[in-house]
Amino acid sequence: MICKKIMNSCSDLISLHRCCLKSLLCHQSTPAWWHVMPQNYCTVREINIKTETYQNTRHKQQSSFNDEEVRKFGALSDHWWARDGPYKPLHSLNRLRVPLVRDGLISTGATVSKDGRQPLEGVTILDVGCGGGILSEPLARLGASVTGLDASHKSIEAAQQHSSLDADLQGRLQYKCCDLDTFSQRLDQQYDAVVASEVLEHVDSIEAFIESCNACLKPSGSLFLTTINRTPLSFLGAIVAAEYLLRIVPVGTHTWDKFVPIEALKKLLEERGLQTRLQHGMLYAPVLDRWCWVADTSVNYALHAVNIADTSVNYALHAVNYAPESPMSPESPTSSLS
Amino acid sequence: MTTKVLRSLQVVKKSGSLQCVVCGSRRYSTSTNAESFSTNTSSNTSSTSTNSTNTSSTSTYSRKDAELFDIVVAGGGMAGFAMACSLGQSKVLSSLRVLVLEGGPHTDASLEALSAAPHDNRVCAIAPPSVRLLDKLGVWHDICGVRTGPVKRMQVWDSESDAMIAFGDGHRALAHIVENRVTVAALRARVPSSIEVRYGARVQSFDLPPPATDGLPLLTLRDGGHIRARLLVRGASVVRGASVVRGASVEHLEVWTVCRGGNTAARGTDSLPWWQHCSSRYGQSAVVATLQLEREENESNITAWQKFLPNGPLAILPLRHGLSSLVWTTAPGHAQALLAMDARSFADAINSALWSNERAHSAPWLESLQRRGTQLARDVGHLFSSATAAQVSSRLLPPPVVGVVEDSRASFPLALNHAVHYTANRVVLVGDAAHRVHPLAGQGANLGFGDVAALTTALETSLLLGETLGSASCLYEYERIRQRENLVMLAAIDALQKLYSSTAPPLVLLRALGLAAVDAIAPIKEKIEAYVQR
Ligand SMILES: Cc1cc2nc3c(=O)[nH]c(=O)nc-3n(C[C@H](O)[C@H](O)[C@H](O)COP(=O)(O)OP(=O)(O)OC[C@H]3O[C@@H](n4cnc5c(N)ncnc54)[C@H](O)[C@@H]3O)c2cc1C
Ligand SMILES: C[S@@+](CC[C@H](N)C(=O)[O-])C[C@H]1O[C@@H](n2cnc3c(N)ncnc32)[C@H](O)[C@@H]1O
Repeated sequence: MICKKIMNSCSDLISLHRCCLKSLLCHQSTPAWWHVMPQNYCTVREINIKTETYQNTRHKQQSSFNDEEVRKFGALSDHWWARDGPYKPLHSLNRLRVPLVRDGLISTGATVSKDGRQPLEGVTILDVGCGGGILSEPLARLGASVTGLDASHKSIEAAQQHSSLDADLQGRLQYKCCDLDTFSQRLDQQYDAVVASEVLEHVDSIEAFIESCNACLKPSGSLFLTTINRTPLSFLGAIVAAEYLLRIVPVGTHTWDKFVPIEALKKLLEERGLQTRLQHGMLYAPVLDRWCWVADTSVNYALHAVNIADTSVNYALHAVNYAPESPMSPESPTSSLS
Repeated sequence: MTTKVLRSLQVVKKSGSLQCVVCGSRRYSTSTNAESFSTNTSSNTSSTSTNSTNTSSTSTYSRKDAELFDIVVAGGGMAGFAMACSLGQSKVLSSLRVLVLEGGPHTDASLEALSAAPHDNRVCAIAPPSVRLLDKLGVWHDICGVRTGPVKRMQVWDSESDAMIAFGDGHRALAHIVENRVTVAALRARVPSSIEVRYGARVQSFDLPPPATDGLPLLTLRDGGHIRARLLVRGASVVRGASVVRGASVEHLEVWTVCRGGNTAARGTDSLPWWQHCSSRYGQSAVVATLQLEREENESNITAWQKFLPNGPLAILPLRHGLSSLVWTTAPGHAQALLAMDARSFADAINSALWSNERAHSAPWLESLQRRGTQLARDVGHLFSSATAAQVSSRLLPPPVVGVVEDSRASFPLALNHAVHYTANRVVLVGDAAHRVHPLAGQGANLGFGDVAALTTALETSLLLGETLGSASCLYEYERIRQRENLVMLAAIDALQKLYSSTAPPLVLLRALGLAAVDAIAPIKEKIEAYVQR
């Protein structure tokens, strides 16, 4: 019985992802582990090619919007708020990313008061790819005035429906159905912070996406990104384990070659005057349904970058990197405030 | 009256399969005696569900006439008022709209009045972690301003052997004996004025929203008023919830039993393993009283004495010079007899229980085994410290009881109660409502203060994560933290109670050697002291 189930899921895995496996094996930027296999004597130079090819391929399309990816989320829009549904890890990720945004904005001085229940009072936030608003709602509850942006109609409907249940959110949270590129071209205000959590791995052109994010950002505003790295480990963790073996998220949620290598992303940010202040690895424990901060960024990671209008300024914050005792330890969000 | 009650009988239909039958409060309405609530659940459910079908079927949760509060604390005891204080003083939580409902009458005894009044017979040993919480709330200073009895030395011994153990160096306070009413009054005085406190507001019943739905708990007060809460904090163990949600049990939230003698009703828990039992009875009662001790000049009253007798422990806790509080756990029949005695014979009964050397079994082999075991423990103890034999505690005798303060005698039935879950949808239990322990370790109120501190932290963390008030993950976090702590304490206290309620020679030997070992081996003793002080 169990054997049969395993067999089935194995064949599922192979047939469904034959193209993925194929693309993996024949991909121009062969993954790093491929090179260390005995039959293949790699050089350091070859591994480095990876990031370059990545940029080259992405340059061809200039839109961040991928219709197929957006439809994928629209189809599951009824499940955004099911606590045990396909988006369970996104719900529990709030324990890390809400403090990341909250304490990040407090540390850049974007906030007025940091005591009390609403430390983000008066801060404007754009949540790009907000989906059902899993992250938008808590940010609004912390006092921020949040605009949730998503290209999927159905997701925005689900988000609006859910936010109407909580009177505390009224007047603080609005949703817009639009893709980021179009939105950034018809901008009527810039934001103190732009958040794009778990979106980067679903867009076509990372550059166009980052550029649009930057356009929405006030000078010295903060950009918060969380996404998945492109490493062998992330293939095993985010696709093989999460989609096929443990079935935490639906099969086909992620495509490995859309994952975003952290070094390339940081370089890209830097070129556009976005200085990385903080980077953290994130690790998910499926059985406990808990996330924790880790130093290793090879699977999931989070970035906080600040828009420095004048790029010639040598930013002292440059040195700030992973700090284990950072104020955003999920265990003690209060301690950093009081 | 009946019609009003009938009106509150409602059926709520939620999404087909999940049917919630909210039993009305009729069967509970006239009773103020906790025992009479212990009726059988199944008959209870069936009879009320027939009732409810003939009554209105509007949703309980959409009642518009009910006042809405963010947090309602039901029960203004030590745990309830500590919770209110803690909520009101927290930077994060103070903007919430909080209401405290206390069933008892308003006692406007000021702290000054209390410090002039004679000592009350209900006291608690407040341990250092609780002192820290009370200090943080600004209450400890006020309590000290009234009066406390610092315990700087503690001696525990056994009627069945020579074994004994002593803690404390006579300088540092191990705990403070404080009258319950002083603690409550001091906490009450520090509740910020933004928090409303209603006295004489007895909660008659409360209806809980079914799990994972968006409803809010609805409280029905004895005067017929209704209150809705976004989060209900229950700090009153005797509130009997009149709600039974079929299919998804919330009965486990009810600490059903108040045990007296053979009157237990641990319904539906018979098949559960011991640690999930809602309750067990000890068949014991605690007799409390305020005792006058023989005053010894230049000898202050700083020692807590506890002697394990076959029927239960007898404890004498220092209040002030020449005055101590008695907590004597014993068989219910004996307790009745003790209450009925005149003051003179009562004092004699205590003295002879404390001083007597009578034993159930006194075989020479047992005593020689004990002596040798104790010697061995001391030898082992020397390995760990360079202590000389003189440093091993020597047994002291408590000062004789010379009298009992008039009208200070009372007795309470004892039980072990533990709720399997401390939380359900938008409800959370704190203090004795979640757990009742045997007073032998003086931990009941202290566990409650621990709950208050943990719940405050959990709520703060949760609100700063942008979660809704009383979100499931926050309550679950609280439950996880507290059960880990409380269950250990509960199990230890229960085990001690069982170990000491026997006179069987092997058990007597075991505990005698255990005590001797702990007393003589410094590292173990320090560990225990540190655990209690933590
Ligand atoms: C003999 C004895 C000795 C003890 N010694 C110690 C000790 O040394 N150290 C220690 O830490 N603990 C000790 N305890 C335990 C301690 O007394 C309790 O744990 C503590 O009082 C519990 O406080 P609480 O606030 O949780 O509950 P309670 O004190 O029971 O408070 C409940 C409150 O709710 C109110 N209430 C009840 N029903 C309703 C209703 N329907 N509606 C509204 N309000 C309601 C009541 O009036 C009461 O004020 C001892 C207990 C006993 C019996
Ligand atoms: C994994 S979901 C993330 C949801 C949300 N950020 C969260 O963490 O709960 C990705 C979302 O990004 C949206 N999306 C992808 N590309 C987009 C684009 N270019 N503009 C706007 N939304 C986009 C998709 O519709 C989808 O809802």
